[in-house]
Amino acid sequence: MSTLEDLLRETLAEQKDDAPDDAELLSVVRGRAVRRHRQRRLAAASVAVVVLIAAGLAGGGLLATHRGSPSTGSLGGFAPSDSIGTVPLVTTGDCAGLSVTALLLSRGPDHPLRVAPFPAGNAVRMSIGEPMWLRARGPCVTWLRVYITGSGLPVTGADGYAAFGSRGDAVIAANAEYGGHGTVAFYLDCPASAECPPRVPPLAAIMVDVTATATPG
Amino acid sequence: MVRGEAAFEEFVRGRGAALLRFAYLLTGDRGHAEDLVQDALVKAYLRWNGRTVIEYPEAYVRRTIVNQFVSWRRRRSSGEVVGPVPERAGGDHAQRLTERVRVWKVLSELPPRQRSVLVLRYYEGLSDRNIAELLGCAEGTVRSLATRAFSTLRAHPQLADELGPIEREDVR
Repeated sequence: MSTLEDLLRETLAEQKDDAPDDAELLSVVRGRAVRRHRQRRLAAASVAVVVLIAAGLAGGGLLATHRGSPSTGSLGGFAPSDSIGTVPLVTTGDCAGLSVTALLLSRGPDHPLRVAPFPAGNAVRMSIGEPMWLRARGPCVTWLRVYITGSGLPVTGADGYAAFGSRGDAVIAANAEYGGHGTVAFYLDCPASAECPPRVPPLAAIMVDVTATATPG
Repeated sequence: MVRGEAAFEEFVRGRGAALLRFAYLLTGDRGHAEDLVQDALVKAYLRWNGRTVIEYPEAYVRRTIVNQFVSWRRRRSSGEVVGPVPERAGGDHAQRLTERVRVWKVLSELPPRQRSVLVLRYYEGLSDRNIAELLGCAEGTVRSLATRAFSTLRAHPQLADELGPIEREDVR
């Protein structure tokens, strides 16, 4: 005499043998994870572009307005300064005078950041999802590239690259889901296909620490 | 507590087959079982490589599989067509086989949470408390789901005849 419970056990035990094979499971999962991660990066970059456009319309003058502000930040790749007066990343040749400033939402418009020549100092702290506006000034602006490396990093553009527009503006945004560490490096005339890093040292680099609870400075 | 690429690889190699069997018993469909497991593992993988710590990875993945299964069944517009059910064959062994095939078919028609409870209880051998934790509900709800599932099985026209000679015990 059997019970329905016995019948269920027998049925399930028998049917489990028809389950799919797990031989390719790991590689399939890794492939799907990579694709999903790329999709998220693209989505984050799209959001960043929207933010940039909005910022350009509404707050694009923030840096210009506060140029000369006495309070500037002290961050990795940035040097404290009495004014936001720029320090050139390039001092000789046709691109001499090229400089970059940055603005983090969490630091507010009164604390623009000045990118100093490589090597960098302390890490910049960013909150997840926080954008960082970059403004390049001087010659060769359109040749300037941003390259981002690391895990859980600020992301933008394709393959980790982003370029400055003709007006010298670019934006990066911290990954929307994960924290992490990374480097935002600046290169001159280094299209993505050329894969400058690690063959060429960057002009400057910002070490970034992305956390869910980052506080300014 | 598990983190890192190597730990994830070890987990998938060690538990992947069991997770696929579990998902298959939930869905009754090989392709969908693969999708469920892959989706759940992708989620786990992304967490693994982020800053989130997964203390009990297998429980996490199983819970994801069950949640996705329940969600999927809710979205599904019509019943899934499973293989034909054989007519009753002669002999005890053949009859038992027929019973199991019919039970398998009727299982696929159960609401997803009821089916999940039966699979977790009679295949995975989990206690009602563990099932409740995994499903995110009360222990009493698990018992209620099981009771309703058994009622459905017993009343189902495909099984009513088969279950005639079976002792009808109260489920635990």
